[in-house]
Formats: sequence, structure tokens, C-alpha cells
Amino acid sequence: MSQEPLVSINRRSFLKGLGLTSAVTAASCASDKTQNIYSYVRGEPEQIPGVATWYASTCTECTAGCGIQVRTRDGRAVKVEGDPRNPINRGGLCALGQASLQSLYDPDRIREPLKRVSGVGETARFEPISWDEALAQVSEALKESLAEGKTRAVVTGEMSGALGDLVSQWSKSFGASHSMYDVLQPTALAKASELVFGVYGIPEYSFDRAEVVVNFGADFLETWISPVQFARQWADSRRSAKPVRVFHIEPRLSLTGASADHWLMNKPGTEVRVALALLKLVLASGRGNNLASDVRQSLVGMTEKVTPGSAAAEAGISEEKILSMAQYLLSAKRSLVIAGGAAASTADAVSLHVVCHFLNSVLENVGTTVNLNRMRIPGTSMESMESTISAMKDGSVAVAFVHGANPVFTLPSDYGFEYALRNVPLVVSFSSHLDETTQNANLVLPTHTGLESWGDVRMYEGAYGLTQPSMSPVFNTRGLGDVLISLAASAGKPVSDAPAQNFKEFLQESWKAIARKHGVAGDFTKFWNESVERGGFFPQAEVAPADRVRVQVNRSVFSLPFASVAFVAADATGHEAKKDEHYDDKGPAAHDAVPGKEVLVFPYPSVKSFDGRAANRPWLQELPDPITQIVWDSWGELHPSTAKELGVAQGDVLTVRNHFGEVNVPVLVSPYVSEGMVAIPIGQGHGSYGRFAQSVNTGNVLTLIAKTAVKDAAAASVAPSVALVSARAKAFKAPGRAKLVKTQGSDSQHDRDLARTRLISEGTDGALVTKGHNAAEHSHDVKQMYQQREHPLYEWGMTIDLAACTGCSACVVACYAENNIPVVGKQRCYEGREMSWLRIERYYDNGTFTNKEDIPPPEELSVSFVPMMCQHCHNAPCEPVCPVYATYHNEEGLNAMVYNRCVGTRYCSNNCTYKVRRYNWYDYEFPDTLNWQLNPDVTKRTVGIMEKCTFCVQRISEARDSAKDEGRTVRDGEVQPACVQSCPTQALTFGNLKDPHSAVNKARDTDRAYKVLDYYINTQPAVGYLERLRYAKS
Amino acid sequence: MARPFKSPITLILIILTISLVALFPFGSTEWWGSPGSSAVMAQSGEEAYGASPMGTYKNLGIRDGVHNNGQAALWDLHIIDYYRIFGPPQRARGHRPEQPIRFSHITHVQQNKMDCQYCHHSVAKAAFAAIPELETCMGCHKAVTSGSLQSRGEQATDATEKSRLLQGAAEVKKLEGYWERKEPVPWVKVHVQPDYVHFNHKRHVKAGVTCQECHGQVPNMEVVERVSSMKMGWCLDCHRMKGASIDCSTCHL
Amino acid sequence: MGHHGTQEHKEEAPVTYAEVDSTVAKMMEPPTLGWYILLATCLLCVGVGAASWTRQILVGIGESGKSHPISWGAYITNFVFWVGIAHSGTLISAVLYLFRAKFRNSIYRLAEAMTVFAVLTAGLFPLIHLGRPWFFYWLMPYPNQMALWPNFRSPLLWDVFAVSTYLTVSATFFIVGLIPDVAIMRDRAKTTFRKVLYTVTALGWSGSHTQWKHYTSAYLLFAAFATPLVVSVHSVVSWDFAVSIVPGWHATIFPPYFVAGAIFSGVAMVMTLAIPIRAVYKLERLITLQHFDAMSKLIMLTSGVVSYAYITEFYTAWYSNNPFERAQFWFRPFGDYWIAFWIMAFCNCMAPLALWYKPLRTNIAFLFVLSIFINIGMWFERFNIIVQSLSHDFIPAVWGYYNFSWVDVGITIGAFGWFGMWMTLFIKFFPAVAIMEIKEILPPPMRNEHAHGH
Repeated sequence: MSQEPLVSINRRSFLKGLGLTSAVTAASCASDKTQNIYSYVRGEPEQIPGVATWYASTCTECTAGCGIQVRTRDGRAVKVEGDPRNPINRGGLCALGQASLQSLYDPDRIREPLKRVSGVGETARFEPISWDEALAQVSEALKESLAEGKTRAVVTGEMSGALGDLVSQWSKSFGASHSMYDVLQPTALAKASELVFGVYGIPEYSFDRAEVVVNFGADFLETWISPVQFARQWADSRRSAKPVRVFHIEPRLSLTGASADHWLMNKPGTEVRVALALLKLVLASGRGNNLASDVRQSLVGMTEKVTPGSAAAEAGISEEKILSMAQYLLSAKRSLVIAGGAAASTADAVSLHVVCHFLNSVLENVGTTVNLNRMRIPGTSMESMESTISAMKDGSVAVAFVHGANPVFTLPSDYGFEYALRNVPLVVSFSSHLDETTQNANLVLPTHTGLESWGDVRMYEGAYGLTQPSMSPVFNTRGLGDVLISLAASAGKPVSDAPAQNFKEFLQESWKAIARKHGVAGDFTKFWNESVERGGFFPQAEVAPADRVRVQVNRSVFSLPFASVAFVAADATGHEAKKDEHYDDKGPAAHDAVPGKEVLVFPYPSVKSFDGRAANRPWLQELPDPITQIVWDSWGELHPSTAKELGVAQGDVLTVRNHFGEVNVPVLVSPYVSEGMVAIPIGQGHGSYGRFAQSVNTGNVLTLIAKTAVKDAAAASVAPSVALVSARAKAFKAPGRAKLVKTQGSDSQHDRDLARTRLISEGTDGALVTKGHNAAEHSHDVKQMYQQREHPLYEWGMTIDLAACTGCSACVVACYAENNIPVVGKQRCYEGREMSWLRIERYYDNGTFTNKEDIPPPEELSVSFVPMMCQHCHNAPCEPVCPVYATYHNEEGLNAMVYNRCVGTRYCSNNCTYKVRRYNWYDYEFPDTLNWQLNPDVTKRTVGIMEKCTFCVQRISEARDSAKDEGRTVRDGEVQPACVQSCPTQALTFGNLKDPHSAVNKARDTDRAYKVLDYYINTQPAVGYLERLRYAKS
Repeated sequence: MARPFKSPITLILIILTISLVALFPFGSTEWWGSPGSSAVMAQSGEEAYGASPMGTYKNLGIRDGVHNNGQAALWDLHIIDYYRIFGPPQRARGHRPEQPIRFSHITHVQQNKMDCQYCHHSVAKAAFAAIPELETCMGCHKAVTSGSLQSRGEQATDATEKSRLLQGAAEVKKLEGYWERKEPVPWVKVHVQPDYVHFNHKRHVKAGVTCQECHGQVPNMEVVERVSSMKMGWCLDCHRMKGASIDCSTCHL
Repeated sequence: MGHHGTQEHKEEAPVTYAEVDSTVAKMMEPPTLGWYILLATCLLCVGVGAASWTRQILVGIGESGKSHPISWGAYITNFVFWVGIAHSGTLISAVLYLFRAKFRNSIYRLAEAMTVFAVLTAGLFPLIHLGRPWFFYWLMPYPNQMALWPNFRSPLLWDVFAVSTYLTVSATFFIVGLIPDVAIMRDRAKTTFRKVLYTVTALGWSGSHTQWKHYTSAYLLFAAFATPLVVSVHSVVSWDFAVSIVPGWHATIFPPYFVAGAIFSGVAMVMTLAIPIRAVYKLERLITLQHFDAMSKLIMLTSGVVSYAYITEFYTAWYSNNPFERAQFWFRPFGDYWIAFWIMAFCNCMAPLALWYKPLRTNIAFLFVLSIFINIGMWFERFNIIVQSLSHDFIPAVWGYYNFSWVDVGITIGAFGWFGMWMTLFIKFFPAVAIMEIKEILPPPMRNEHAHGH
């Protein structure tokens, strides 16, 4: 880990470094050409050729603030990993974070400042321009606008920390409005906290302390608030003696729902009724005396009209379920009720969150599972967006800055943001991608990505993440901070009393404040270097003793609407948006003649494309969606009956259209979606962003949703957050068929005992008993015919705990990054030629041990995820059949693969029981500059060669190497394959099976341990699995 | 059977076999006009250096001390390498590309007694033996400037020494040029390995393998030359001899 | 010794030596336009195949229809198909020779040529099928600088030896068998080209007594040498599958099952070739209905064996109670590829049953159609074994479907063209019917004709 940040490497000498690696990463034929070795001009103390340097930093992909460590080789970032020392993510990192490298090396990144040469409204054409010119132009415009008395607007994504301070200070001194916008920020939740607890913000939830969780659609294992942190908490509890019992109520099966014990499919918009029913039942049992009496009274009044029966009827779930939920909540010592995700993001989101908050306070969870001392304060504010946009529309804004947000894509189109931009004389975009918003800019000043820039993230008081550049900028970009500071300097408006020359200094200033705040005595430089080295400063990483926050209820809360949500009809008229026709070129008139049935549009975020910012990363595009197993596409999930109504079948194209926009999505028929709605993932269908994003041309689902104006005293005049589930639309079959590429063959495991589930149920004495497979039946004691293998020193093996696997697929992306796995594109995936060494098999079964051939109905559903990679069998079927010894068993128990010896008979793949070998059917390209990411330690494979998981043998040999230097053997935990390292829940453990005390052996020392198919064919895999845990349906 | 040579074909076959077998011993010798030590001076221009192998190196050819004479196997015929019959020339024995600067190991190692690791400093620390940073070169050449060499050359009496110094001055000038431009020297790689071979210098140095066993008597080379085609059989032979691992995944990752 | 051999010609006058010579010689008269067209067609097909292979090498092996999890497809199917075709040739020429089955004599030359050319075709496929064909020589055990041997445990390596052995032996046997007849051609040859060709290939045959003495013993030796190959080669090929663990491949019944199938398909192919040649070159007097009746019986037998093998496979799958085997054999008739399965079942098991009706055994038109059916059926048998098993094995999550590509088709066409090309050239330049052997079973010419009337 570096003590001194990587400032000493300037771009020039960094480029020198490239020569060294280029020889290593070049295509295999390159060794036949003349190669040059470029030495550094000046020596870099950290840069020993061929030795990796790691930099601690903080992930800036979302606002969770996970700590990362960036592995660089000869000045290039080649891998991003979670930082085990970080209290938020504790070592894991999600797929999005893993893929941040591909945003850094995105071949479609804007490489230098651009100036728009085409007029307003025309298709944008840009020309390069120098930084000096560009900045001069901006400061000129600023001066003018000040002179003319016009205003300025700064629209950014969610930003905290020093950069946030800088921007607001800058805005103050330039008299500009600063508004933040992030479509997935749960601001409604923050608002509800303000109404119920008297504090605006997102409380910190701890799933590991709850015994029962009732969850209204919050995808806390995917994108919600801090998924990696929550996933780890959830997993720790699931592995404990008393696993948390999760009820998940949502209209469409999400990844999080798949991991819940009781998944209840409700009608969209009815969550609040179920919540009320629960509240009623809880109050009825005499709880809630911790509340002020009048509050309790009004709560009772609130819940008068609803009964479990009526709620059940409205929601379309059984009454027993509601009753048992209430029962579990009441009997639990600590519980947690949350709402979030798409399901909770409706016009009346606040109401739902309010009820959940009340449930939590009545159940006395505040201070235990709901921590109000650790508030995240979201900066996103629809009010300020509203005002900014209207200011833009009426032409009073002269200069607008846009940074870190793509509102044209993520704002409901009836905000008319695009139209508003067109009314601004100078729009400056700081995006480093030519996205929809940037298309409307007059000037593009590309910024660094998080891996190139300084910065910090403030999760909450007491957790400060620090971001440092892990390499010098790939392109001719500059950080927003530096640009603002130089602008301020040129305009003679200092942004801070301590004049900072660049953003790094500004950052250090603000960290001096932090040091003072937390009473860090002594030399700041020491504190600073320590923080940089540690990737942040976490004075109270441990949970503070919960002080019972008094519930300070804003009494107006009871006048909120608590009915089921009403959705905007497809042919809604008189909508605000109609005031300016410019926002929608089709115009509403086109709509009324539309045929087709009306369905509810249900846009949902996913681990694949988040809110659309990740759409141009091939790894994520090729990553099979954990639930649908579809790659490179967007889709519309329909309930079979709805599909029948609309007269469409799987693979047809469905046009979904309403006033605001239109999308054309391939139909995906699934029984796990509520009737009368079409569920479409957010973030696909970019009109402009990059080659990979634009390859999915379905149209943007967010154009279908309506800005919802809840005029209400209690709630703000504007709904605090965008309501994803708000609008209905007409849906009808479009001509043509779509090629929907699903990488999974069969959804059922056909009673083959691949993914085993163990049912937990209360015994007579109330203690938990688990019922697994008949141990005798599966005990595997075969008389071995052949002599068993000898492993003198090491026998590498892995243990995978299915009870902790959420199917989040972070490991898959990590594997792509570590092992130079090529991305093959949609067509090749369709042909079954995807190259992923590690796949997450997703099976639908009913959780009992009588798996049916067909997939079960929603109420019986039990989903299993099986991470499947090379099992490194000790009786490997692939080994004896290779005619040239390209694959063989080595004395460390690895099923080794020698790429350069392979002639490509593919017999090994045929004979592989687990079908985990992947074959290079073609020579695959790594378009410049994505090839900069290639790992120099791993050979790039060419056409006609078989490849597969190697347990990251390059890491093993690295560890062996350093062990030899120190004259010892490899320590337990010293080797961590990319997948193991990345796992947010630590479901994977790797180590030496020869060592009885190794973590991998300890992990599999349980009656849940089994090996896939070993019982049938005696392959003796080195990978062991632990049965999945699930509470018996009650 | 009685008269085996009845058919001419049999005869031809036998003769061919004999001659082929006869070739094996020549595999590693200098007979075939290899550009080995004998040929070092032969290259045009280099007479000007007039370098004469001196000190202990006097009696050493550049391939002395190389493991198994750089031969992968008995049938790894040097003639085949030398005339580039198979495989890319860059990987063959005798490959000696022209370098952007005529860096002379004779001058630096023999005359000035520099240690290999002074320049190739990471050879014991990492997989790669570093090419020295320009900074390192300039460390000495701040003092030994092209100017100083020039003047010394002009004063030199011995003709060969004179021309040698003048040549040196010219080369150092190039170096200084690169340093001024802050531009790396585009050295041409001599010991090219295919990408699927992951050789680790550190491990070999720590195991006590001498530089010469693979690279030959570099101190004797005016122009660095590849003394072995470094074929797999060659590596394996040494690994077997020294009881090192012969597991494929030791080098092929 | 040839008396009983003539009984079939009771009604008509016996074939004379001169007649044999002339009929066979007629076959080799300067090529007609029809022959040229035939050859051109074959060459065209070869061209298509060559183009497809070139594309595959330049663009990538992915141009063939194979994918994950179905890594073997049309190529291996063709390989097994052609090796199979080869077998009956050896059976008829060598085995029946040892059993002194006289009816063989008039068809064995054709069968043997078929053998050699079929092996020639089959031999191409392992090469075409490789991902990196430029490294094919790594499968040969030869001293190399890498100090590496091939893996002798791999069935694919056994294949290399099996097929190359088969090619050498059958080719030698074939050429040796040709010598006396070629000598006759040499003596009748008019054009210089043919003179040279036959003089070389006749290896100075003068028909002297000593030469015959050596010749017959040599021929016997080669026959004895070739006979075990009939069983061994296709057994080895079957091990490519039987040795693996893939459900549907991993079966001990494979070797006999494959050998029977091979002979079955081979005999069918002999018919497919013999019938048109017989018609075109008027060989009715040499290749008589009797021969077809005999071949039909052979087909009935082998078809029976093959059908029995199919049933056994299904029975074993059921009886083993192995979920994977069971799923596989349920998948075959009712799964994605049910058509392929039922084509096979009809062509190989049902259609040949018609031969139990005697008149059909000598109905040339019917036999021709049937033989074509059997060829198709046997191709699909291999397709079912290879592709169906692979697309539906242990892990349901990776079940897949084979998507045929144009390159697959092109190369398959090319294979038939390649085989046809050799055949076409052969019948024009070498005696496609064995003159000497037929003469053996004819009454030797006597001064007094009546001495032989019955």
C-alpha cells in the first residue's frame, strides 16, 4: 500500500511505463515482431517493472462510499477490489464498482474539451478545443451573465464532501443555483424521517441485528442505499445460529426477493395498505406505548379503515400471510420494517415510508436496527430541480453547468429538461461521456473518473472516505474541482478564505476541519498520509450506543393519503408537461389513436445497469441478469395472463407508449410479475452514450414515467423524489421478433440435486431445527478403484456457502477483470459462445425436495443461486481425454490448463461434467483503450484455445513467490482468487485443504457441506458447497 | 534381404539418415559461421571500436558457460536456427538487433568493471530485469560527457583507442539528446519470449543461476546477442538437472 | 472348381473369359461426356468444401455450428460416418475372402476402392475439426524440442493410430489385389498415358507360375492382416465416446454396436455405388441378382443387430436408474431433435424389414432407394449420439441447441465430393470389377463345349 499518493508520476513518464507492459499484454503473435523496451526517464520509487502497486481509495460509482484498493501495474490501473479495512463494505465490492475500470478505459470517453458547432435542436456536432480557450470562453460568459444580471445554474449528481462544499461555495460566490439530482436517491425516505423522527435523512439500518425483516420492495442486496454493506449484514445473520427471517413484498421478483424466505407478490401500489394492516395488528396487541399518546391515538385512527382482510384483498396476497407477518414482528426481540426500490417509489412514497417508520418506532426498533445517529443526508432535491428548470425555461439562466448527472435520460420527460437546456445560451457539460445531456451542451469539459481524481465521500458523521488518483489521467481531462477553482481565480472570486491553488489543497483544507472536529491532535501531514493510506478516516466505525431518539412526529403527517396509489392514466390530459410541446417531438396528439391495452409501467433498477450510468461497460452488458439470465438487452416482463391479453409471446416486440414517450422492448413472459403491468429495467436504451450502451436500442423506459405533483401540506409542494412507478401506458404488439439472449438453458434443476436447500423450522421447544437432504442417501463413501492423488504441500480448494450467496454477480465481473476474459457481444452469446469462466446458475424450485420439472407458482417459489466455476476435480474427466496434455492435474491439486499447448479438440469440454470450460471460437478484440486494463500476469488467449477457471493461478504463484522469498509456505488467506475477494457476503472461501486449520476447511466442517454431482460420478471436486438455508413456508 | 542395396531408394534413405545423424554434433558448434564471438567484430563499423577482449574474458567465447550451449535438444540444430528455417528470427540464437544507441557492454562491464545489477537493478527484486532509467545512465554520463570523450579522443595517441573514444562520444551525444528531450530510449528487445511464457528473473537469481547460464558472456559482447533460442526443452533440461519444478503452470499461467 | 459357381446361370449361356475381359475393358474406354459431368460435379463439391474450410481457418472455428456445450457436431459425425462406410469394404474383400465366399468376387473390388477412399475422406475430419489445425502434428509421438509426448490415455490419440493403420493396410491390400488385372489392362492399353500408368502399377506382372504362387500367399497374408481391422478400427472410434462420461456416450455396448453399424452402412453404400455402375456399364452378367440377394441378407442381419443395440441402449438407461442416462434417452425421441431420432429409427430399423419379403431383395430399384435411406439413417445415428448427448447432459443450466452453419454443410458436401471424385477417377482408370477372381469361378474354356452341359 502506498504511503505517498501517486503524484510523482506525470502523464509523460506514465506513458513511458506503458512500453514495459505492452510487450506483455500484446496479442500472442506480437512476440514474432520486433519489440521495444522503453525505460523510465526518471526512476519511480514505487515502480518496479512487473511488480504491482496498490492504492487505497473510495468508490465513487454510487453514494454508498465503499472502500476500494486499486491494483496498478507499471502505472496502469488493472483491477479494483474492495478494501477489507473499510467499515462500510468490509472487503466486498459490487459488480458496478468492479466495472469502474471500464468507465476509466471506456473507448467512447471524451478525450479532450469539445465545442459544439451545430445549432440548437440540430443533431450535435462537436469539435476539439483547447482547455485554455474553453475556460476563457466560460469565464467570459460568466462575466457577461453577471453584467447582464442573468443567473447561473449548476446541476450535479449526488455529491458530498469537499467537492460538494466547493461547488456550493462556488455557486454562492457566483450567485448560481446548485441543485443535485440522482434518480435512485431515496429522498422520500429522508422526508419521511423528517416527518416522523424530526430529522431529515436516511437512517442506518442494521439487518444483522434484526430477527425479522418485513421489506416492501427495497432491493437492499442490489442498489438500495448501501447494498454491499447490507448484503454483508444479511449474510452474517443468515450464517448465524438465528438467521434473520425476511418477508419481501413486491410486485416483481427482484434479486433481493429471490433471497427472501417469504416472497409475496402483491399488486403494485398496495404496499401502504399492507403496512397499515400490520400497524393495526401491532397496535391492537397493545404495543406503541412508547409513543406520545395522541400520536398513538391518531395511528389507531389511521388504521381504522383497514383490516388484514381488506388489505389482503387489495394487495392480492393471502390474509394468513399478513397475520403471520404481524405475529413474527410481535414475537421478535428486534425487527425491521423497510420500504424502497421501485415498488416503494410511487407518488405516495412518503406515506409508505411514514407507516414503516411508525411500525419501527412502535416495535421499538429505533436505536437498535434503525440508527438515527448515522444519518445519510441526500443532497438530491426535486424542489431545487423544479425551480432551476423553470428558471432555465424562461430564459433567465445564462450559464448552466452539468456534472455527474444525466437528467435528460433520468428525469421524467415531462420536466422538459432538454427543452430547458435549449433555452440556456451556454450549457457546459463536465461529463466524460457523450450522453444525452451532453448532446445538448455547447461546451464539454471532460472530467476525470473516480479512479483519476482526488475527492472524498461523507457517508455519515464519522465515516469519511477518501478518493485518491490511482493513475495519471488516461485522456486530456481535468477534475471539476480544479476547473471551478481556476474559473473562480480568473474571475477574482475566491471560493474559500484559505485560497487553494488546486482541488487537492482545497480537499486537504476541508480535511483539516475534519481532523479538528474529531480532535485528531498533532501533525496534519501524518493524519493526511494515514488517511490516504487507509482510504479514509473512520473515527466511529463501530456502531455507537443507540440513544433512543424521541419520536418527534410532525402532526401534519396524518393527513397524508394512505390509500392504494392511483397511477396516471395513459391518456391523462391537462398534464403540466403539455404546456410546452417541445419536450416531446411526437406530441401527445399522436397518442390518442393508439390501440392496445393499458398496463402499468414498472421500471426497476438492476445490478447490471444501475440508473443507466453503467450502460457502456461491456462487462456489465454481457453479465447475465441474475434473475432473467438475459444479456445485452432490455426487456419487458409480463405475467402470462397479461401476455395473453396483449396477444404477445416470448420474443415478440412490445410497444409501450404514453404521453411522455415510447419504448419497444422484447417480451419476457414470467409468472413472477404481477398482472396488468410491464416490468422494464432502468438504464438501457441510451440514444447516446457509447457503442455498447447504444447497441441496446429499445428506448429509455424512464421517458414513460410521469412527474407527479402531490399537492399536500405535509409533503413538500413537490414530491421529494421521482416516482418510478407512476404512469400507465398503452401496450401493443410491434412488428418483428426480438432476439432475446438468455444464457441459461433450463430454469429447473430437474431434481438433480445441484443446488440443495435446507429448511429451517421451529422445533417443539422453539429451537431452530434444519431439515436437509437425507444424509445417508448422499453420504459418499465409494471404494476408490484408482490410487488417490498425492499433494505434498498444497491442495487448493474452495468452499461456497449458498446460504450467503445472493446471486449479485460481483464475482463474475471480478473474474472478467482479473483473467482477461473477452467480451463477445450479443450475437456470440446467442450462439452460446460467452466466455465467462464463472456463471451464476439460477434455479426456480419449490424449496422442498421434490423438484418438479416445471417451475413452481409464485407462492411456492424458492430460488437458488449456484456459482459454478471449474471444480478442479481430483478425478477430472477432462484430463485423460486431452491428446496433448494441455490440461492435467498438478501436484497442488489444480486442474491446470496450458493454453499454448491446446490444439482445440474440445474433448475436455464435452467430458466436463460441469460444462465450465470455455472455448475461443474466434479471436476476440479488446478495443483501444479497454485493452489497457488487461492483466499482464495472465496470458491473452487466441482462437482455437480452450480456457477455464484456474483458481487465479497467477495469484497463487505470486503468493508462492513471496513465500519463497521469506523462506516459508503460503499462509492461509494469503491467496484470494478474484471471485473470493470480491464477494460482498464472503460466501466464498479459498485456501489449502491440506491444512486442517485453514479457513476453507473450517468453512466446510458442517452438515450442510456437499459437492455438486460428486455423489453420482465421483469426480471429487476441490470446490465444496454448503446447502442453502430457507425458513419453511409457514 | 540378401542384397539390401539392390533398390537405389534404400541406399538413398540410408545415406540421408547417416548424414542427418552426422549433423547433430554440429548443433552447438561455431562451425556454421554463427555470429558468435568470432563474428562480433565482423560487422561493419565495429572495427572502428577496435575492442579487444581483455582481462579474464580473453579466452571466452560469448556462448561459453551457457547451459547446454543454448541447445534445447540434440536435434535442436543451430544451423536451422541460424538460417531461420523455423520460427521467428527474433527468437533464434544469434539474433543481434541494431540498437538505437550502440551501448557497449565491453566498455561498461569489462573496462569499467560495472556490476550487472547496477543497471539491471530489479533483476533480483522482480520478474523483469529492468532496463536502467535514463537517470541512471546520466548518473555517470553527467561526468563522462560526449564533450569529455571527444576531447580525450582527440588527445588520444593510439589510433584504435582514439577512434573508439570518438565513437563513444558520438553515442553518448545520442544519450544526452534523449535526456534533454526527456524521451525514453527505444531499446530493441533481444530476449523476446512469447506472451504465454512467464519467466521470473528474481526466482532464478535467488536460486543462484548466473546471468551467463542464459545470456552468455554479455561482458564480451559489443552488440548484445541472443546465445540461445531459449526453447522449452532447454529450460526443462536445466529444471530437471537442478530439480526445479517442471509443472507446466510454473511458467504458463 | 468353378462348376457350382455357374449354376446360377443355368438358363443362360455361361459367361466366358473373353466376355469378362471385354466387359471390364469397356468400362475403361475413353471417358464419355456423362463421366466428365460427373467428375465436374464432384470437383465442384470439393471446391465448396475447400472454400468452407478456408473460411473457417481465416475467420475462426466458430464459423462451424458448434458452440458451448455442443463442442462436437457435424465434423465428428461425418468422421464416424465415413470410417463406418469403409468397413464393409474390408469385410467383403478380406473376411469373405478368407471364408471363401465366392459371391464376393464380382463386387469386392468396388467395395475395396470404396474402403480406401472412405478412409481418405474420414482422415480429413479430425484435422478440419481442430481449433488449431496448424498444430495437428502435436498428436504424433515424435522427438521434439519441447521434450513432450502426447497423452497416450486419450482416445483421440488411439484414433490417430487406428485410422492411419487402417489407411495403410487397406491401401496396400487394394493395390496388391489390383496387380494381375492391371497387367491385363497394360497389355490392352492403347494410349501412352495408360501404358505408362499400368506398366508402373503392374509392377512387372507376367502371370508366371512363381509369381502366382507368391501372389496368392501374399494376398492371403494381407487378407489375414486386414481382417482384425474390421473389428478393431471402429471399436477404437467408438471408444472416442464410450470412454467419456457423457450420458448417452458412456456405454460398454458401443464397440460391437459401432462395428455392426459400420458394416450396415458400408454394405448399403456398396449397393448405392454398384447399382448405377452396373446399369451404366452393363455388368448384369457379372454383378448378378444373386449378389444383391446376398448383400440384402447382410443388410437384414446388420440392421437387426443395430436395432437391437438401440433397444439395449434404452433398456440400460431405464434399468440403470441413472437420472442423467434416463433424461438423455427420454430426450432423444421426444426432445428438441426428435426428427433426427425418428429419421434414424425409420431408415435403420423399419425400412430394412421390407427385405424379409424375398422379391424385394432382388428388386434393384427398391434396393437403390433403400440403400440411400440407410446411408441417411446411419448419418443421423451418429448425429444423434454426438449432438443429442452433448446438448442435454448433467447441468440443466447449460443445456443448449446445435445451430447448423453453412460451413458445416459446405464441408459435408465437400466430403461427398472428395469421395465421389476418387470413385469416378477409379472406375475410369482401373478395373472396377475383379477380372481374375471372376474367372476363377467361371468354367475354364474347353475345346468341347458340351462337356460342360448339365
